[in-house]
Formats: sequence, structure tokens, C-alpha cells
Amino acid sequence: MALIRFPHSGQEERFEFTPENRAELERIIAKYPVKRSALIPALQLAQEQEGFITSAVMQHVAEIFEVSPMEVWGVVSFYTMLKTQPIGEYHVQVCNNLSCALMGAGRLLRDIENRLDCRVGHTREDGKFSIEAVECLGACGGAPCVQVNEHYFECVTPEIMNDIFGALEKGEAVSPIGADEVVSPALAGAEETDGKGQG
Amino acid sequence: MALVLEKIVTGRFDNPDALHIAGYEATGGYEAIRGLLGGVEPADVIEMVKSSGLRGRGGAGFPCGLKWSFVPQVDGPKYLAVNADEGEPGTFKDRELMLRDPHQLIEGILIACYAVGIEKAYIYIRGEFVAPWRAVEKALAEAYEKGYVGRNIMGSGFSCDIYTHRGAGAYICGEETGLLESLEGKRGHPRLKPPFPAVIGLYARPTVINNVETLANLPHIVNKGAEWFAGIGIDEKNSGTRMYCVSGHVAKPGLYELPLGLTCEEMIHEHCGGMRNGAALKAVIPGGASAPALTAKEVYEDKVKMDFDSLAKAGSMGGSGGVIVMDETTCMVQAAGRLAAFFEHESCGQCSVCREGTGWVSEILARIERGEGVPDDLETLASIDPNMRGNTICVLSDACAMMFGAFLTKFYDEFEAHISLGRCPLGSPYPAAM
Repeated sequence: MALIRFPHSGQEERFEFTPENRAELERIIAKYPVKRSALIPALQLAQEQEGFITSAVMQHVAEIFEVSPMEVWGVVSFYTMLKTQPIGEYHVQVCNNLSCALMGAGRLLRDIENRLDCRVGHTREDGKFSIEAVECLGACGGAPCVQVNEHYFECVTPEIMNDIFGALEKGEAVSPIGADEVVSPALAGAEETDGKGQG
Repeated sequence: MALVLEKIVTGRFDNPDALHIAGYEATGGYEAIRGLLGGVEPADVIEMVKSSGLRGRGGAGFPCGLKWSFVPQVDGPKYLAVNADEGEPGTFKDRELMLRDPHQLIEGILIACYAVGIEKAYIYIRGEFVAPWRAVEKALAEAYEKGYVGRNIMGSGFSCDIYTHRGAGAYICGEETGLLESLEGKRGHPRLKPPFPAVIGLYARPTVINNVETLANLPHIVNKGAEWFAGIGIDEKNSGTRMYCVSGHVAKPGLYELPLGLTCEEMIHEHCGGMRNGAALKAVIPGGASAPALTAKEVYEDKVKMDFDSLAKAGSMGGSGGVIVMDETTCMVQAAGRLAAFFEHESCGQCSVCREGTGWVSEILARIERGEGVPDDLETLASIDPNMRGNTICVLSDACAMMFGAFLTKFYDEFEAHISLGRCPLGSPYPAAM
């Protein structure tokens, strides 16, 4: 648990969902007998649209769900996947929990930092990559495991990650490695996935 | 009695056709629910699951049929919340169950809902699991189209809607009441129990919460019978198989579905190819990060078995089935410190004992590992331990205490050596890895 401040609300533009996302949100709200259950899906949808959760997003979501913006902020600050700062086009999450650590995740993280010229916890200046050290990703049999955007890459080495980053830099398609291979479309280069569904 | 080596829930893992509904049906899929809807009383399904001995595969190992029977038969909606918020370090089975056989999960959900009289189920899938969520969504669309899910299923009059719900990154939402709070759109703060969710759960209605693997077993129990299931495993209270998620320093890490009652030694040496590079075993965490570690002596001399009750007797627990194997090169202070940092990060902050306790433990362990520990640290740790047990709303605090308590008592010399030498005696090969 860490203390985080309510994001600066300076001169932000007002936030509105796109008509498509607004319709998607209505579809999600209909799944639940109580509207409030769709609050986190709404934030996920807004994050997909904006890149991260701004105070304008929280104010708009608060209006939709008829709660206070601070109530929404309480939710946002609780969940690690809800971001209040911009992240890179490719968000690189390196698992550093025990199983991955035993298999060299610490060294791997340093190699990735050097390769991308970006420190853990930061977004590179050009906005292309950001790196985060995360708790268990739930793929410990494939340790060390790295998640880039939605894709898992299991049993990776610095060399494998180097190839993956190289391909992403060139805008080439990259497929997940490990169990995700069963169903996942490739990252970048491929047609847009239907990831907007949010369930 | 020799243990039966039979694959139950992973039986279709090598059959990519089973991802699609036609392939699933071709291997007997949806026959179990069809049979039940053909005229089996819900109460008889609960009895069947009770006598199969199926215990929850998520962590606590609570008997599944008994859990169902706590739900009062009252008017109005009841809910099933499927716990697919897999996040216990060392555990990766539910992810594969959703990726490789999503229809099996859907059929299991239908069976549970039919038995308890539930018409709405929510599958709470951890947010990072995008591919598994996509696999389940696709399977659900197929099942809806075929009329296995939805209104008046197969003309039986039984209706059941199943929805996915994506988490947003919080380990504590795998705790069942934290999950419910999160599903209600709030911070995932666990609730005080009682009342138990079976009586007052989601939207204050009676609610069953079952793990993915638990539900995946149901179609097989219905098809082959409770007796068959009870015959796999070591006894009637430890029946069936478990999906052991083996990680760390074994030659072949991965997912192994094995009967309950195998020894830890057999698991490592007969199924996982032994220790990596032939190194000596130092410690095994047998059931996810919350389960107290076992020593090499407990594995090789005491021959501890990996079923629920044997592990409990050995002072640990079967937990989530996450088996983390550590060899002689692993620093126990570092391992404990890494896990303590995890618990600190994941404490929801409601109870001061947990919020402060996990932080203190993490800080002290990090200090000892850096070689900056002072002799009093070990006493302080020992005194924190009992205070972190039994004093909080949920068991995250207890889990942290059980974890470091076991490391501290079983590897006390190593902790002492760190303090007296002012450095790690192993010169750990994984500096700052953790």
C-alpha cells in the first residue's frame, strides 16, 4: 500500500467517452443488477481511451455513477492497473516475485532497463516504452515472465527480450511466448483486437 | 493403495480443438449438464459433490458441497462468483484452465448454479489475464449461441447467465469478500465474517464463491460419479487430483496434475525431473506464498505428502497448489524478504496490524539481508509474528506471519549469520534479484 496524491486537476480538458465507448459502457452496465459494479470497467474503458486516468476522467465517471469524485479516486488509487500517469506505448511489466526472482528476474530487469534506456518506474521520453517491476503475474512455471501490454512472454532471457524490443521498435508484429500462444493475436502490426470489450 | 495417475481437469490440454465448442462436445462436453437437466434434483447434485470429497482448490480447501449447502433456499436472486483472480505467488493453474479448456469451466459453472439454484454467475478474472479473458469470452459466446447458457437451457426451464468481470490489479481481490467488494465497484477491502457470503454476499444476497479449478472438476464428477472421484487421491477427504504449479529450481518447472497424496519428494524427483543442475534442495513452499516452507529434511526424511491434511499436519498448507522449489544457492533471508515485500505491497490497509506489520517485517528483513541487521532484529521479528495472527479482518496478515515465521524458525542460523557477518553468508548468486 502506498500513498498517492489525487492527480493535479489544473487545466485539463473535459473528458467524454467516445460514442462507441459510451455504448460499450451501457452494455457493461446492463450485465449487473447494481450499476456501481460497472465503475471499474468504466475506468478501464476510459484508460484505454485516454491512456491514463485524469482527474477529468474521475469527475466524469463520478457523474455517471452518481458518486463523489473522491469516491472514484478511492477506487482508482487502490488498483495497480489503473494509471494516473501516462505510460509508454509499450508498457513492460517485469515480474519480480519469488519464482521469477529465483530464475533471474533481477538481472533481467537491469538488462531491460539498459536495453530500453529507461529506468524502472519510468516512461521513456519518447513515450515508446515504460517499465514497471510487478508482483506475481501468475505464470511462474514460465519464469522469468515479462508482460508487454496484454501479452505474456515466458521463460525469457535478455536476448529474447532484445529481439522483442527490436521488433517493436521497427513496428513489426510480435506474438506472445508461452501459454498465451493458444489464443492471442500478435502485438503491433496486427489488426486491432477487440480488446475494448472489458467483459 | 497405489495412487491413480489420472488427468481430470487437464485431460483436454493437448487437444486444441477443445477450445471450440464442437471440439469440446466431441469429447463429451456439456453431457454432464445435459444429464442433470434431464431430471436430477439439485439437492442430489449437492449430495453427489459432498460425497465426492471435492475440496476447494483456491486456498482454504473447504469442502465444496458443504459450502453450497450453507446457501439458504430463499426467494430472490442468488449469485455465483467465480474466483479467477489468480495471484498467489507460485500459482498459475487457473490461467491455463481458462486458456486451454474454457468450456470445461463454463460447464462447471452451470453445474454449480443448477445445484444451488443460481441464475447469475460472474467470473472475476484478474486484469493482467487478457488472453484467458478473451478465451473465456469467446467460449461464452459459443455457449450462448448453442443454448447452453442463457434462458431456458436445453428446454429445461433452468436459466443461467454467465458474465466475465475483469479485475484491475490487486492480490487481495482473490480473498473472497475482497472479491465481492471489488465486483461491487469498490476498493477490494475484505469484509468482516460472519456473516458469510453464503448468506450475505454479492449485493447482500446469498453467494457462492468457487475457484476455477474446483468448478472444472464438476463435469467429471457428474459424468463419472462421486465414487470414482473419491477413489483418486489418498482418502475420502483428500480426493481427486490437484494442479500443482511447480516453479523455481527444478529441472522441469510447469503444471502437473497429480493425485492428492503424493509425497513432495516424488513430485520433484519422479515428475519434475529432479533438482535443476543436480543441486541440493533447501526449501519448498508447498501451496503458494502464504504456505509455510518445508525443509529438505521434511521432504526427504519425513516424506511429507502434498494433500490438504498431510500438509496441515506438517504445519503448512495445500493452499493454492503453488509449489516453489529452492535449492542450496538460495538465500532464505532474501526469499522471505521478497515475499514480505509482496505482502506489504498487497495489504489493503484496513487493519493496522497488517498495514504496519507487513511493512515492518519487510523492512527488517531487507535490513538483515543488506548486512545491516542488529541482534535485536530477530527478537523483534519473533515478537511481531504472534501479533500478526488472528487479529485482522482477513488472513493476509496471518499469511505473512506464517511465511516469515517458518523461514525464521527453520533457518534461524542463516538469519543469525547475516547479522553476525554483516553480509549474506551465501554470497547469493542472485544479488538484488529479489
